[in-house]
Amino acid sequence: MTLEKQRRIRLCIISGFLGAGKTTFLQHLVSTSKDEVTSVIVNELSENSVDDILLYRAGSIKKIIGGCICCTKKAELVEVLLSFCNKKTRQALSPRKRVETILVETSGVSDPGSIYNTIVNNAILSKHIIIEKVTVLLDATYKHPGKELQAFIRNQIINADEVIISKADLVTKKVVFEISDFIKTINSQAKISSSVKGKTKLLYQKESRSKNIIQHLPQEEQKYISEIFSLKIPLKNNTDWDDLVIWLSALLYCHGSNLLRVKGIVSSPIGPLLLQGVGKHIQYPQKLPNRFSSKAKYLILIGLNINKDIILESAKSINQEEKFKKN
Amino acid sequence: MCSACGFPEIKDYWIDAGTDSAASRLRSRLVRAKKLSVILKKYGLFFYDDGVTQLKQIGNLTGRVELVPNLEQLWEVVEDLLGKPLDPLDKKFFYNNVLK
Repeated sequence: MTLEKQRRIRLCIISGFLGAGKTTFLQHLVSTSKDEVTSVIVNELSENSVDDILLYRAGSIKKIIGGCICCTKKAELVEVLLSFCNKKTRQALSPRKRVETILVETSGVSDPGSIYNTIVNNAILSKHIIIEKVTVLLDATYKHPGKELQAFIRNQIINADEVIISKADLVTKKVVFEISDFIKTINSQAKISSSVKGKTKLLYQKESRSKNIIQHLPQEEQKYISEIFSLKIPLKNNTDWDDLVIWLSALLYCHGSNLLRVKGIVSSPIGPLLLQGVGKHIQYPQKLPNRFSSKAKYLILIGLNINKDIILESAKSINQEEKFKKN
Repeated sequence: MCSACGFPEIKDYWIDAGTDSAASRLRSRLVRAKKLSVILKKYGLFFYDDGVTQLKQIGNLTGRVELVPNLEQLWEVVEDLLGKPLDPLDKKFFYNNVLK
């Protein structure tokens, strides 16, 4: 065996809170990377994932959905990583086809420290995989809704090797540097960059860095995370776009502080659209290719403290066909 | 820029994503106006959109009228007029909407 073949797979963990811009960052990374054998593992709290549609450029995508890879879906992550290791050691594969880099995109509420520990403590994985870095994205525009949530984001930053302040174009330079100073106070070892639409710019880097200290979340914060729910609203293929818009904009206005993330595939007069939003703000939807027009449409809401049944009941009204009947 | 009111056009407004031409944008806007007026009538408010100017009219039955450029600001004004935010999870919101 040559030295080159013995090389371990490099793995990057990309984390950050809901809607911080993980997928955008990953999209940029995948499309600009020269390394063709980049594999992506996408983790999603909800049962449907839109990230794999956005990341069609990547070499291969593995989805782990319906739970968080740091707790409930830990076993599934180990299984996927083992299959990558297995592929790597198979002699028949040409070096070009071997996986060289794995990018793990965690769900918005996962704890990167726990994923780090899972890989390092596994006897097989630790022999084959080297964790290159833990990247955490922090939304520059984010208004922290509560102390508890801030503690949760702080925990992600503590574990990071690299913190990227995303959406830096939406705030002033002063705010970016204020956030950068705040990050330095809780993790002085991290490399800090700012990013605009996935393009990063280095702000601060310490010359030598010691190993990261991995900390776990205290019990109360774990409880808070479990209160975050993900709700899937199935939509019909001919749902009226205007009804949806009226309902969604009113919902975001009335309950926007409790809804952290909105995403989904919806139908519109010009074809299927990919809808994405963070908090009260909704991005200009992306038009999807026509092959999506026959696929199931849905809307996913991630939030806290809202009665799921009432939302589903209310959503039925936008799902009715011919609701606005002519008399 | 709208020549009648001097309001700059809002670019990339997500609500217009379902349309691809000026004609379909106008059609969608008028359909939305009709639906909104049915919904808001139940709360004692009226909504009127002439489809020409950028601003839409929202008012209550006492005669107070406000002008709003988009849906987000409409809900803000509705909260102002009603004294509480209009909750779409309320059964009254969509129940028995019949367009005449």
